[in-house]
Amino acid sequence: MKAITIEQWKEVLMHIADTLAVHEAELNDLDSLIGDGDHGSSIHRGFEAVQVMINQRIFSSVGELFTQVGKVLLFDIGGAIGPLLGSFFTAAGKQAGEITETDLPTWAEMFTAGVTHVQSIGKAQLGDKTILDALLPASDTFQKASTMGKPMILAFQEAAASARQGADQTEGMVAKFGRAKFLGSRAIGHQDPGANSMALMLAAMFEAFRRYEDVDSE
Amino acid sequence: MEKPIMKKMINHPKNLVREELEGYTAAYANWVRLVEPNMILRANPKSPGKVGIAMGNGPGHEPAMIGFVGEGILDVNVPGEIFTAPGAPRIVEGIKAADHGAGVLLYVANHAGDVLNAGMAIEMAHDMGLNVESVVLWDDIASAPPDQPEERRGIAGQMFPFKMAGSAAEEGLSLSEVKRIAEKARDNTRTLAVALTSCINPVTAELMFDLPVDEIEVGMGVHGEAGAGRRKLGTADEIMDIVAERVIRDRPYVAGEEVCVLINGMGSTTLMEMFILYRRLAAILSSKEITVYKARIGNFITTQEMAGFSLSLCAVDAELKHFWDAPADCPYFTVR
Repeated sequence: MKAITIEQWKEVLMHIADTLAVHEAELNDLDSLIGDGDHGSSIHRGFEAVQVMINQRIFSSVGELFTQVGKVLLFDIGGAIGPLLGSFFTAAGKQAGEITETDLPTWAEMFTAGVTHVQSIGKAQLGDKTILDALLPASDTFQKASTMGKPMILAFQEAAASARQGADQTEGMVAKFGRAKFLGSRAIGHQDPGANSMALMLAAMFEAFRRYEDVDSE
Repeated sequence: MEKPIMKKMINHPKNLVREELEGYTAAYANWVRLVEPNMILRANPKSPGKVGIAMGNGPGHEPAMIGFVGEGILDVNVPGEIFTAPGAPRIVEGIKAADHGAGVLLYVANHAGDVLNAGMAIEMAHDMGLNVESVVLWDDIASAPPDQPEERRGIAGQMFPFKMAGSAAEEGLSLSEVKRIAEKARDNTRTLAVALTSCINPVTAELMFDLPVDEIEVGMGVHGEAGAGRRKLGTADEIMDIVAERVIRDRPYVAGEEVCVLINGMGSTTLMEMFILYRRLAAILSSKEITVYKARIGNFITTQEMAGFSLSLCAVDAELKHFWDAPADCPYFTVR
């Protein structure tokens, strides 16, 4: 797999939505420990709306697809995670522009643009126990893989692993943002739900692309 | 935590907000109407040329904020999902709906989701050329020290800026004046909340937090966020002694001042208890030569069936007294 087409991205987004549906209760449980217990439901709601939107229209570019996904997520999810996720996709879409497929260097730039925008909106840093604790390591991984000319599928595998590790590391952190910031040290021992859902999304992306890779190599 | 049994009268948890909006606007059709996408508007709009007031927030705190749409408080309320601020584009629709030709003031409760979405909404609205200002509201002394007010959560004390700035708008003051009144009321207000029990999130059917049966949480946030600490339940007088002393000291409120008082029930605490608590407060304020101008006791910004209360004081001068006393006609807040 050298480049991901619009149709493939649509399928990946559908798979992300299905994955989040499967993990809805688990994400809610995570969130109930340090938030109000609805993170899984919120994300699922947003991506269900993304599925509906994708089925209703044609996209002439990767940029258009990602921008529309961002708009739907911003409209539907709400709370703190809605603007962060929505902005990630919108900024990645803006970076992508008119292209109709993404190779690894392009994707790495899109991902970085998304992460940069999330940081500017949310103002968090690495170690603040937020979605950035999964996004930043994944972004680094995509950039390094791109620079080293690694195969795209390997880049997705490694980024999913980085995001997972980042999410796991949020367990030891005190929260600087969101409801959990009022818990002080009571937040330690519990992982951040946003970092977890991002790790799940990246794992779902890798899973979906691995199917294409298997198909390619047949 | 053991899975609790949720004994609430709802239909499907995914339809909670829509169904409550439909029921509420049907019952109070003379005051409010439901407009897509899921906004509550006044049935009898204010006159053109007056500043419009809008707010987007997570429902689940009824009567707040849908119950305060009407003359004297809100023109538009944009509910999100339960306990979840609505997405920025929805807030933009609310701003547009509140515009009566003299600009809009958007209230923003100081919680992460509310602030993020409102911030984006204001940018989007300005890009469209809309005349809108925002004011972030905070009052909870337990969230952060006095020198970091912008880190403090917005809880029941928001009622003071809601009503005072709402009436200023009703009287035709300019957008900058209405905003000034909102900020003045906010800056004169301090609140401290005490929770006796948790509550069940109606969407997830899970307990919001754990609290041993014989303990109370002082400094509870409106979504069950932890506060300043847990202690054993005492008598009403013992509890009010602690709460009143901390609220008074925070600003501080001093001898010779006048205050409005708001005692807010969290949902399942009885008026009986709140009246007993107020008795102690009245004695404390009197002993400190702080005069109560007006008091209101009831359920304003609840958290489902949580038991507990919050005490809010707002220092009032002639201007704020005037706006607190001005007429209001909302389904869950009236001043005649």
